[in-house]
Amino acid sequence: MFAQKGVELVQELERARDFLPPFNEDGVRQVLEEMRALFEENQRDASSAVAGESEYITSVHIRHCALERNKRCLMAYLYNRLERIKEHRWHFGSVLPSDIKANICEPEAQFFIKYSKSLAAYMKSIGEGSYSLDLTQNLKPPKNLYIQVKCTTEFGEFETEDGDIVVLKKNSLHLLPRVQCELLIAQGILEHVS
Amino acid sequence: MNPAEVEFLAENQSIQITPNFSHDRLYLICGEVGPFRPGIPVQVPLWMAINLKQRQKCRLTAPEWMTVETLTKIKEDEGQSKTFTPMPDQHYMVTTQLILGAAPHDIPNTDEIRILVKDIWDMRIAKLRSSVDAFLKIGGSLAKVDHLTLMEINTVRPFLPHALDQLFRLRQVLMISDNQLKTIYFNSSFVL
Amino acid sequence: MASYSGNLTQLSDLFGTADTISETEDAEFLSASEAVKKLEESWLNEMLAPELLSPQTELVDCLLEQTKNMEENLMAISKSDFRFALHRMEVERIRYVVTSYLRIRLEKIEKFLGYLLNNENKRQRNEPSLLTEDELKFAQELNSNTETHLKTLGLRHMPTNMREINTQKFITTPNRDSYVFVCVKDDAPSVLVSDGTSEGEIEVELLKNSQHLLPYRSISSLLQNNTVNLL
Repeated sequence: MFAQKGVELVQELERARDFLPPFNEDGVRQVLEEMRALFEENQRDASSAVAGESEYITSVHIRHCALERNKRCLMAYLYNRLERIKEHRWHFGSVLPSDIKANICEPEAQFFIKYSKSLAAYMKSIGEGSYSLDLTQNLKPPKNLYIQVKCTTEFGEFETEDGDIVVLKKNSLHLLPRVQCELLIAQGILEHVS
Repeated sequence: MNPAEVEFLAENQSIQITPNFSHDRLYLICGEVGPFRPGIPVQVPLWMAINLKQRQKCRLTAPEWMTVETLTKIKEDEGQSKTFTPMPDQHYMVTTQLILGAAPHDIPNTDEIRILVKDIWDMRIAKLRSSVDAFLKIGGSLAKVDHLTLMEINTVRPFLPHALDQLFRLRQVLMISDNQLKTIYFNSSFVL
Repeated sequence: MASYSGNLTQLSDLFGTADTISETEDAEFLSASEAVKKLEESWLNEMLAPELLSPQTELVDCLLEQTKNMEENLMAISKSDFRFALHRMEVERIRYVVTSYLRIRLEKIEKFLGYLLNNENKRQRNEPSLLTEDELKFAQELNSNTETHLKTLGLRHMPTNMREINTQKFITTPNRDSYVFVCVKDDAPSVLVSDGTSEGEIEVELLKNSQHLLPYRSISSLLQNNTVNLL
């Protein structure tokens, strides 16, 4: 069946809603190969069709539809992965965790870096440049100035915006400014304890 | 909009507190508050009142409407009215939860008040549900929702607006008028 | 800004008066408290509108300036000072609204990227833009990075006459017929609301303080001139 592989790529993403599966280089290659093969066949038949052998017209048409479908599936696959990679910047910050890094291909890693740069440049420009605002933090309305957190790993020294240096050891408890903990909590380094 | 955001907006409202400390006027970005003198009531934003209460620096005064008598009347009026009656406070539900949560001992009859407010809420939500139901069944294309509060409106999001968006699209596609739509929906089950 | 000389009674001078007027290029003078209220309204409207609204750059800049000044002032007093927590809390509340507002805008910009860039290209010089300069830069970079990526991994390897994408076909356009809840701030002329068909049009009276559920399209201009707010 034409475009089977293309559809499989899309389904792969559809099934893996919660995580980004490894870049399916093989699948992409197969889709492109099918497109190449279909195109070549069409080129051969097209000349016959033009020459007046009209029974070729339908097959050319079908292969053309398959080509468009393959293209659409592949674009959807690539584009959808980009959307998820962008989401990761908002959730994990500008450094990707290693398990996600392992699943993206080199061009995707490049895209992530460029997107990260664009976002950082925009955030720096806020307030006429005199005030850099991290839009990826502060996701919930402020309730308390400080929250109680527990450190889950040996993180080391952490400097708060006020200039205090806190040593984050495994299982240590701290009362820290809420806004500054958000990223560390998202990364799993700190845990909010109520 | 999530409930935390509605609560955030409710916290901007002004409330009366009675401080147990002395302090000069505070110059906030949003305006002046104070001065604070022990025993002298003063108006502050609700978020500040709760913060001061948590630090045991004041007593909260219930808003005028937060009494058993007033709420009982409101509940009666709501029960007798087919439509929604105006609420004394745009954020009556959130304000009650915040104040009773932070300062249960400052407010008289907290249990009764809690129950009355919940009853009013339940009544209005039930009214809302059946209005929405009827509204969709007749394929209505717009509604007047006077006196509904933000938190109540939030309970029908995103379902109601999305459902209406779909109906709008369907009408556009089918190009049929309201009358014909009514007939169709009465006789078939419409799964959204 | 008064300097801190260590005298307790002079501390109140540090924070100035609450009637700080914000001067904007538009000669529209708002007190700081009015500015905060307007920002919150703009935040809600942007959150609930199905399309990107006009940017409130001056408002954002002004309030960030206020919070920055306040934070600098706070560095002069001790954390255990009674006022510290209260001022800090207010700053965090304002910053939260600004952050959320700008974040919502970026989300919409990413969602309607092609549509907004098209409009920007068609815009006449005297028409105001929906994007700030920095938002536009962000949008253009994202668009270009996306195109480059799709070309590199996909299009470049496709048969010769298939290497272009007709982006026009695949852009997401905001749904201006989307239903919204509105609150009328001031008496306004009634509007005509369509129900989706070509004949069904209903006239809706917009009295002060009334609330309605209707298609966004019918009130979008009223939203722009501040006659209504979204709920």
